[in-house]
Formats: sequence, structure tokens, C-alpha cells
Amino acid sequence: MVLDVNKRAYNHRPGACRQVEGIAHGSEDIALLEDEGIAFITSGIFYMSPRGKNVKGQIFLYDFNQEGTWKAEPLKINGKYDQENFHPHGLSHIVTSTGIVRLFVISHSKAFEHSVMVLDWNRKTRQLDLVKTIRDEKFIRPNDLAAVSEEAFILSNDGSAQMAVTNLLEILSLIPSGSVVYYDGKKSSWLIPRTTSPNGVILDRERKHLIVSHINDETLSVYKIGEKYRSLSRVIDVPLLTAADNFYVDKDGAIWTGAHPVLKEAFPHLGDCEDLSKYAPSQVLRIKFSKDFKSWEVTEPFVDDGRLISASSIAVPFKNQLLIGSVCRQLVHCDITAETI
Amino acid sequence: MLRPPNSLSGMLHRLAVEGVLRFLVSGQCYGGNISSATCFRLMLDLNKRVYNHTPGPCRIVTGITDGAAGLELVREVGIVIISTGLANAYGNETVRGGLAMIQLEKEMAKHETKPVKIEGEKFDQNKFAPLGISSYYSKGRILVYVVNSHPERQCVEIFTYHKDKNVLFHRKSVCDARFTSIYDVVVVSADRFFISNLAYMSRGKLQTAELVMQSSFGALYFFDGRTVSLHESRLSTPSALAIDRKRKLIFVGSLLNENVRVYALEKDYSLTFRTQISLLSSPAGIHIEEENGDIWIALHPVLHQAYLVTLYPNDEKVRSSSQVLREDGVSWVITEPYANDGATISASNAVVYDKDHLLIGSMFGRLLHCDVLNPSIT
Repeated sequence: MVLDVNKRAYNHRPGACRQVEGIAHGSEDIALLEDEGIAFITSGIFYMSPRGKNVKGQIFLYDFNQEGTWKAEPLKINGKYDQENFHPHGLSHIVTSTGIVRLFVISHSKAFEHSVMVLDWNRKTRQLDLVKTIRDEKFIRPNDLAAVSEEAFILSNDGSAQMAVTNLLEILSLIPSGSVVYYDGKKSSWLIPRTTSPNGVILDRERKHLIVSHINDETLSVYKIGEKYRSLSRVIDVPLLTAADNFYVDKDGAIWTGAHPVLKEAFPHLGDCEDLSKYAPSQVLRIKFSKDFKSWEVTEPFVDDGRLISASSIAVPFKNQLLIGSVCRQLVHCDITAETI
Repeated sequence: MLRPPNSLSGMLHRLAVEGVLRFLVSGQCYGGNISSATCFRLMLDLNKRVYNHTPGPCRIVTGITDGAAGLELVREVGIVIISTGLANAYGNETVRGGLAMIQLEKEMAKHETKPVKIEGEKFDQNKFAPLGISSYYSKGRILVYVVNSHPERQCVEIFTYHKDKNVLFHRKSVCDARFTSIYDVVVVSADRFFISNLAYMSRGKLQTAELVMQSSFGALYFFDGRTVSLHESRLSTPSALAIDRKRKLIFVGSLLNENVRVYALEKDYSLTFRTQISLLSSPAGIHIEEENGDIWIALHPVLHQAYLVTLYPNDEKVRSSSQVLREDGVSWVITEPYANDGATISASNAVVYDKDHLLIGSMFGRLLHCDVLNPSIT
């Protein structure tokens, strides 16, 4: 890794873009409810580096059906939890057998303790109801998760260091210190006990493969899921040569990701999110695999040098719209066409 | 007959000493203190790739199969003149160097080129490997200046183009012993032009060694209508040239330094350095949109791929990524209208843009035409 010193971002957009009103301190992960055309967005992440005093951990809702406006609204969370220590990170959702939309949300406290909050979406009140908070010894430094059932999920630990300084040493040492965990609703087990910086995780549409971003290797890996989530076997490694963050899988099976194309600018920016003079390039990639995952095509719908959106982490298309989230800043909405993605 | 400024043995010794020193000392590389070995790996772009995207619908232009390494828009008549057959300069004698043209129209049902016939007693088509092109339009007369990069004949060939007959009449050749690897030409007035010489050595192993050591022995020459003079030396791999006549600016791309130098063109044809645009991608062709000052650049974003393509110009399986960048003439923001991993167009070397027509030429393969759907944001 040479921190991408010989790379830069060259702007291009798939159509007209604008920043979404209401979000300024992050939109690190997005979960799309396709049937309803709404998206849940985590905001206000805390990740080893301190955040400003006015940064509040929140979950926002963006309605793709709104016309003439581009606004995200904060959602109220009902239940017993500590708002001061709520800093949501990765997010995944599933529809339960009773038709309830359930969210699994990784949260870090200000002391950088980790938990997974289980929230049900109440359509009538348009609020989230806290079902339970899960803590586990294998939630070492959780980044993202993929919901498997209404009780179970797969979770990535992107490393083990709990402070920015030790994290830097961990990265430089090149020792694989991340892992992937399966939580079955009662207990957890290793899927990958030791690997390099797994970041975004998502299941393919058929829920037979797990897609993992190894962010420091700038590699996307596809794993076949073993019986009853006991194991993973590697299918392919795709050298993206950009630091892909979180994933979304669209209805055609294409994988969308927000990425950091120039790491040397991402690190100083993410270490000091509130300094607006620092920003980092953003990139959205769309990766279409063949059925057997043996070949793929990569296209690049969006790149920004950081002034419209800084350090993108997730991208979610919905019809002719694209929502791009960032680690700790803006949320951006773009118009897209089949020709420009 | 002018002789090279230094003897060959002296030059080689100088290269060797400089090369050894470079590898022993950590120097400035991409703004940081990085060892020369790492700098070399970064120069080759081993950690880079492009991700495909287009500014709108694209299609391959029929009629071009042996490259479109140079493109020149004659804005006044909406014609693009195309260099083809560059592989002849890279050892492929079955490929014939020549020129073609395409007429740009508002609605184009067909995207097809026509070969241009070349007439002239002293012109030898068998030693013609055209690369960079420039044109000068005056009182209905179209003068075309073509870099002939054939190893046995490094010259700028001057033609008059007769649009009605689609014929180029060869008028003159401007040759010089110092031309070892001429790349591009830019005309500033009738029969007055600048020529970029990429490296001191001619194409081959010695040039490769020169480039690997990241030497700066490229040069810019000026022809004043009668004689060739050295205008600027010790340039790192000067490649693409372009002129903005309205703003009196000359642009010089550097293939290995991955930047474009901007000069003011004075009345006596001297150049005053103004600024430098860092691209972090290797510029091969430059086109200026005179109305707004936008700069369009065709580049080799992954240099080791481009090098492999020059070693195997006939092999369709050896591909290189293509990229087009555009620098806004007012805000200087750089956008990337086009990028391809080589499957559609390999090793982009030239670009022209006119009224939402984008033409991208490859070194040895295809010519691509794209519509630009959103010119202001693409």
C-alpha cells in the first residue's frame, strides 16, 4: 500500500446531482426498502476519532417518492437506549414472517464499545421501535452486517485495535486482524476468524454468496456460504484497486459500492471530520458478475473530488435515482439513466 | 548536416551516472519522499485501473481498423482528419500509414470515415507513419501538418487539403537530424509550428532505457518557415501539443510527468511558462475548445499497459485502458467524460470535441464516436 499517492479523482456525474437537505454529519450506510421506496440512513458515526459536540447519532429516512424536494427526516427511536452513546454505523434490514421490517444497526458508544441494536419499523407512527440490544465478545470492532433472518446476521470486524494510534500500527503491520462473525440469535461463531480488514458485507440476491470488501487490500471477495452458515469458501477475489466501503445489491444482481479512490486524502479527512477544509474524493462503482461469479464488468457512475460529497461509503440506486452516502458528511442524490451508470 | 549536441558514448555515460545516482538517492516523487524503485512502480501505474463509463451513447466509427493515433478538427468546415497506420512505425510492415477524414454533421445516420488520397511526387507512402496532426485554415485554404514518426523518416509533412476532391497535396517535408522521436505538432501561423520530440533516443531499447531512468532529454523545436531551431530542452517526455489561438496559449503534455504545461505565446513566437496542470495520468493528445477554453485530453491512465501495447501493436488481446479528461476553461475543474478498460477502445491517443460530438482515437485500433448527453457535467 502506498496510500494512492499517484491517484486522483476526475469528476463525473451520471446526471444532475444535489446534496440532500437535513444530513451533514454522515450517511455511512443506507438500507433500501424497495417495495416502499424509502431508505434508512445511519448518521453521526463515531469511529475511534473524536466527533464534534453537536454531532448526534441518528437514523434518517429518505423517501424516494418525494417530488420537488430532496430532504431526509430524522426518525424517532422508541425504547430504552442511551442517546448520548448512540453512534450508528453499518445497517441491514430484513422483512420478518409477520411482514415487519426489521433493522439491525451497529452502534459504537463514545467509549467505543460496540453493540447491535435491533429495531422494528413502525409504518403507522413512522418511528423505530427498539426490540433489543445485542452485545457479544466477538463484536470486536464491528463495521457492517448482513441480515440473514429476523434473529440472525453476519457481521464484519474490520480490525481489532480500539484506538486510532494502534489502528495505524495494525494497518502498517499488514497482519490480518479482522474477522467475520455469524450470530444466530443466541450465540456467535466465526465464519472467517482472521482476515484483512473486512468492511462492507452483503448477501447476493439468492442469499447463497457473501460479498466482502477487504478495504485495505482494495479487493472485493465473493464467498460461497456453507450449510447452515457454518463456513465460507472463497469463490473469487476482484482487485478493485480502490478502497470499496459498503455494498448494495440491486434487483439485477449488480453490486453497488461507495469507495475511497485516494486513501492518502481519506485518512486525514476521516481523522478530523469536522474540519471542513479537509475532504476526500468519492467514487461509486457498479460491478456486474456473471452467474458463476467468474467474470465481471466494473463501471463507474459517479466520481467527485470531495467538494460535493466527501469520502463516499455507500451507493443505492432506486429506479432513475441514486443515493450516495458518505462516512461523516453529506448525502447526495443524483438522477441516473441506463446510459450513464 | 547538423550533428547531435553530444556524442553517443558521452550521452550513454551521462545516462548511466545519472541513473545510478537516482536509484541511490531518495528523491521527490508525487510530492513525497519515496525511493526511486517505488517511484518507478508508481510511474508504471501498477496500482491503477479505470472503471468504464461513457458520456452518452457511443459507437465504433467504421472505416478505421489500424488506429487513429492523431485527430485534428478543422473547425471551420467540420472535418476531422485522422492519422492511421501508426503500427508501421512499430515494426509492422503489413500496416500502411495513411490519413482519413470524417465529416461531422448535426444528425449523423452513419459514422464512417473516408480514406484521403495523397498526391505528390516527392512523397513516399511506404515511409509514412502519421502521428500528431495540426491544421491551419486561412482564406478557404486548409493546410495540414502531419508528424511522420516513421523510424527512417522523422519529418513534419505539410499538405494542402482539397475538400471537394478529398485529396491532400504534399507540399513540403520539414526534417532534421535532431528529430529522433517526434510526437506532435502545433501550428501557430502559416508554416510556423512547434514540434515535440519525446526523447533523445529513437524508439527502441535505448529509448526505453532513457525513459525508465526518468531522464529529461525531450525537447520542443520551432520551425519558422525556413529553419528548425531548438526552443526548449530538458523537458520530460513532451508529447501532446495544442494551441488556444484566442487566448494565445500553447499546451505541452508530458507523458511521464503526467502533466500539461501551459505557455503564453508571444508575438515573436517565444513561449513564456505560465502554469502546470497535474493530471496523474499520461497525456497523449490534447484538443482545445476555443469558444470556452476547455481542454480535452486523451490519456493512457495505466502506463504499463500502454507500453505493452506498443510492443505488440497487432495483438488484439493486448489492450490498454483509455481515458478522456476535460479541464474547464474557467474553473479549472477536471472531469472525466470517458473511461474504458480497453475492451471497447484500447490505448486512447487522441481526442476532438465539437458540438456534442466526441471522437476518441486509439493508437493502433479503433476510432470511437460518442454523444455527450450532459456537456456541462459529464
